This record gives sequence, C-alpha cells and structure tokens, in this order.
Amino acid sequence: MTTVSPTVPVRQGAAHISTTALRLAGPGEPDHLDPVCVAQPASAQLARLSTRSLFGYVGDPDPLSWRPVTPMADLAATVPSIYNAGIGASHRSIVVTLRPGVRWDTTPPRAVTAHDVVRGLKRLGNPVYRPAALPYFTSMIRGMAEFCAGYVAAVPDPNPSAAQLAAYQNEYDIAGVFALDDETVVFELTRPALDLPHLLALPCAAPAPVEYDAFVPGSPALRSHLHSTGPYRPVATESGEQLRWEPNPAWRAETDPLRSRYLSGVELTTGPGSPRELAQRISAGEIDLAWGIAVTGPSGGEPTHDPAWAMDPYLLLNTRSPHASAAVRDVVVRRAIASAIDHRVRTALAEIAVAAEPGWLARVATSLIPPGNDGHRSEHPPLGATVDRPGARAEGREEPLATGAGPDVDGALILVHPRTGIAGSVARVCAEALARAGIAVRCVELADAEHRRVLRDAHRERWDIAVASRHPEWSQLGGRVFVQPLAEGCPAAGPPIARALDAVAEPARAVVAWREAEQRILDNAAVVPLLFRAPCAPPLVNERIHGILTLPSLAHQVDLTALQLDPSV
Amino acid sequence: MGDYLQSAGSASIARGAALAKACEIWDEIGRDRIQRRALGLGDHARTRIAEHFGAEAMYSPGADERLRSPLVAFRPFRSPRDAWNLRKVHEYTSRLEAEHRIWVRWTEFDVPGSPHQHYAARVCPHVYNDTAEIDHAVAVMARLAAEMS
Repeated sequence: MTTVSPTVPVRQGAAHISTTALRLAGPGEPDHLDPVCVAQPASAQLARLSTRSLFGYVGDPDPLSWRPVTPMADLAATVPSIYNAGIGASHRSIVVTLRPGVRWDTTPPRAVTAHDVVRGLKRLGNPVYRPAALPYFTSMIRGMAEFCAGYVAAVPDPNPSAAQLAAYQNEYDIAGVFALDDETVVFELTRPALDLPHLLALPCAAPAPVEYDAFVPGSPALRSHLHSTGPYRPVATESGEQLRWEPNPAWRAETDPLRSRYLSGVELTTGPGSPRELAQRISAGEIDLAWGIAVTGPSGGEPTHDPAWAMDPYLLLNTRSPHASAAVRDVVVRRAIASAIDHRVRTALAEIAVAAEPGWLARVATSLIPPGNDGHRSEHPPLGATVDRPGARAEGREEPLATGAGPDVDGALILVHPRTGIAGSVARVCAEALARAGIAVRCVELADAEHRRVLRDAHRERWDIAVASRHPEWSQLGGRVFVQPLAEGCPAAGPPIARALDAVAEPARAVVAWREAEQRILDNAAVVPLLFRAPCAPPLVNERIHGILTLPSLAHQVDLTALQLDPSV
Repeated sequence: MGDYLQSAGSASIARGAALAKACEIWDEIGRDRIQRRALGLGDHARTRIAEHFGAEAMYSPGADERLRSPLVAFRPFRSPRDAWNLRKVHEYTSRLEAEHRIWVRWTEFDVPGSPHQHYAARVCPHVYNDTAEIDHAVAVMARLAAEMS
C-alpha cells in the first residue's frame, strides 16, 4: 500500500522542503487531535505537528543532552526565572510573556494571545473529556480545583452542548490564571513548583482559539475545524479516511525555536499491522515510519546512559466496577489479584516483551517509580507494610490469601486489553496466573481507541482489570509523573503527595513522601506494576529519512517536525 | 550578610575584609542609633508617599507602633487592577533604576478579599540616606507613576 502524493516543491525560508509527503502507517487511530484531549504519546507525536504550548522540548542526537528533557520557551518568549522577573519572591507567581509573531491559521491569520492561553487551560476542566494530567494542574494552580468542580456542577448534562460549556468558561475564571494583556499571562500557584514549565509543555495545556467555543472538546465536528500554531495543519477529512497534514501557511520558522519544516505534508494510514509487517513495509519503501507501535532497528544493547523508563505494562483494577457483584471494589480481592502476579509471572512477561519487541529493554517492576527517577527503589516492603490508618484491618489488608484458594468472586472477572503490541500476551499470561490463584478471568480484546475510552469511563463500564501503560510526560523530577496520576481512587495517597509537592526545596524529604504515596497506592492494589521498559534501539525508518530525533516526552518516538526526506532515494 | 555579599563562587578575601570593616562601622555608630535613624527616615518616606499617592495606596502598616519598619510598600498606580499587574510594577521599578538611579524593589503578597496576589513597589531608606533624598525620590516616583497610569 503506497500513499505517496506528488506535490509542487515548496520553499520554506532558505530550506527546500520535500516534494513528497511523509508516509506513516500503524494500527489503531489517534485518540484525539483536539489538543485538550491528547493523552497518548502516539497522539502527542501528531499533535506536535500543529500544536505549540508555552514550553516544549527539542531533540538532540546526543543521548546525554539536556535539550530533550528540559523545557524550553516555545510560545513563551522566555522561561520564567527570578532573573527576568518571571518568578516572584514567593515563587508562587509566574509571569509568562508570549513570543511575538506566532499566529493561528485563521482567515486572516491572527496572533496567539494570552487570552487563548487562559481559554486553553479552562478547557482542561471540561466535564466531557478530562485529561489524565488534570491532577497536576488542580494540585498546583490556585483555584483550578474549584474551577473544575464548579464546571461539573454547572454542567451536569452528560452530553452538554458547546454553548453550555462556553457559557461556564466565559463566565467563570480560574483564580490563579489570568491575562494581564494580550501578551502576558500570570500563573498563581498554591505552592512553589519547579515543574510548572513541564506541565505547560503538555499538549493538553496548549492555547485554544475563541473558535473552539463553538465545539464540544474532542468532538468529531471540531476535528474539521482545528486551528494550528505549528508548522503543519490537519486537513479536514471524513471519519475513516487517511489523515493528512499540510504546511501551515501562517507558521513562520523564525518564531519557532523547537520545530522545523522540511516536508510537503504528512499522511497517516491506519490499519492492522504487526511490528514485523510494518518493518517489512518500511524496508520495501512502502512507508517511511511506523506510527503508534514500536518498530525498531537492531538492538544496541544496554544503554550507556540512564534511559527514561516507562511503566509498560501494568494492570489497572477498576475500583468502581459493578461487574461480578462489584468484587474488585473489595481491597481483599484486589490484593489477591496483586499477589497472584508474582516474580515468575513478571519474568515471563519480560521474556515475552523482549522477544516481541527486541528494541526495548524490559525489567521486572514491583514499584511504580522506575529506575532513574526520584523515589525509585528496587526492593519494596510487602503490601500493607505502611498502612497505619484506622480501618486498614477492617478492610482485610492483613489476611493474604493462600495460593489456589481464591477470594469469593461471583463469576469470571473481565480483563480488557488493547489489540496492539504485547498487551494480548500480557493479558493471557496474567489470566493464567490468576486462574492458578483461583480467580477466574475472561480476556476481552478491544480496539485501541475503545480500550482508551473504557478506561477513561471506568465508572460507567463493566470491566474489572485492564492492561495499561504509563509513559512519563516529562523526565525530570520523575516521582510525580508516576505516582500522582495513579493515585485516583486512593485517598490515602493524598497526604504524602501533598507533602512531596510541598517539599520542593528539600528533595530528600520529597523522595520519602513520594515513596510513602507509592506504597499507599500499592497497598490499595488498584495498580499492579508489571514491567519497566525503555528503548535500546533507534526507530526503524525508510532509508530516505534524515533528521531522526526522538523525544522522551513522546515516549521516545520520532519528532516528525525534524524529519527530512532525501529526494534522491 | 555574608551570604548576601557572596552567595556562591570562590571566597573573596577582599569582600571578607569589607564585611569586617562594615561591622566595625556598624558597631562604632551603634545599632540603636542606626535603628532610630532608619525608622525615622522610614516614617518620613511613609508620610511623603501617603501625600503623593494617597493613604489608600499604602500596604505597610503605620498605625501600629509594634509593626514599625523602614520598609514602605505601596501601590503606585491609580487603577486597582494594576495591583496585580506584575509586568507594570516591574517596568516601574526598572525605569526608576534605569532613568533616575532610584533603586526600589517590587514584592508580592496575598491580600484578603483580592482575586489575585498584589504586587507593590517597596522603598527602604538606609542609614546613609537623608530626608532631601527621600523627598526627591518620592517626587520622581509620583511623576513616573502618573505617567504610567
């Protein structure tokens, strides 16, 4: 299947850009193109084509370079500091001045303003599609939690109209985010925070033009009316068609320090395909690069530097599931499930992962925080070791189940997993281990997009266990990115998380608090870590591709805006 | 004070000697005398600022003797919304330094009932200042604030 579409050569600044489009192919669909809904690394890779945030990262061929892991000014003119009056004396006031000359691809092109930044952050609180990153913002920005709670209360309709959503956003403000003028945004924090630029580098925190008020976030209607600030812009297509991006005429290279544009376009063809099949198509010249699935070149072995590990995969237990007489709501059952996944099971999973995707390292995971991050520890106390709150015994925490006995579960639990990657094998191995422990499980394969949806709507869906993965959104101060998003449904983790965030100037104290929060989440047994994984080989690409740079913030996927195509190949 | 003189880098013997001399002069003048003079200059500055900017622009408490200090924080601009315009307050203090060689700081703090933190200009007369300098500085600050308002 070839998707080459010849176009007229275009010149962008001094650099020629290719006459053919970049051809991507992979299984599944992007979860969303609306920036506020972008959560998966594969979607973030596409979002980078057309979405710019206040801060961002840039790739570097040097694996030890600071540039891919340190937030740099993107839409912002500079990174705020005490030296440029961007951070106040209390370290709780952050002033961001926008870079001049950045425009939306509206007709006519219009400047990106501070009001667009505020609107983008307000959209985070929408009750229709709340990003997984929202807890970062509600715990950091003054008034964000109240704004989001008020949003839900004001718009209780499960299928609200765009007008209802816009009415709330335009009537109420986030107390700690406001535009001083068209070029200046002020953030007031609940506590000093070193990682605010990382948060504001997320695609979901990108500015939103006023035109988005006419659409429900993530809706199909908005997909045809997206506006771009990046070097490319999505071409309106019907559902099911090939997705395409074309050069954004409003983008100017001199206003974008983090991206380039050498391509005449980008095309994404989705459809079934294993890593092996995609690798064959890349080698045959049918496509340039795989999308949404790891297809790597020969393994380089253990990296000489500390890679950015992901928790991939882990088991997520649905603490709100009504299925099987709500068995998984019982911590005794959850702990029995966690206990059934022992070291032998994890070792078997690691062998499966390395065999299926040899370009990725795999290590057995018994903790949430991977190696190389603040708070990681290789040895963990047993479940329940740090539980000291009243009622822990009453919840059955101290009665481990004998192997094979099994808890009292009414029928088979449902284990959902996505179709792509090693998730199916992981589900099968875990189901077998649970069966040995006396817990019957039925595996259900879902299309990737459907899998993401049922995980997001856990309270409405009848599933008990899910195979999931977590790639860090940023690579510095890493305890937070693995612990805080996984603390949902575990109130006991709240106090240590707050202590960790408060200890920004005392890293040793923060580490202790992150570890305590991690242990409480593990004790709650709603998350069962399986493997840590990190790439040890570059992505496999067609020989005509140059400028391959990967970004940890994209789960080590290629920065598409840096790619060049060799016209002679 | 040592941290203030040099918070990082290689030790400076010259600065150490300067610190020793400063302490010597400090003790020679007497700490009580320095405090009395600083507080007196602070009172003078507070009075002048209230005259030019209005009592409602003052943040630093003057009524309670126990909270007396030479630090005087005030809102320089007429619009109440400018109280949380850090950018404008920063420009104000920067222009005072660049155009008039008057060095004041800006600072921020929570104010009950306000939707945002307030940003204030803050002057602090020192023992080596005199009332004429304060009168001149406050007059310049008032002119610049009026221009920027």
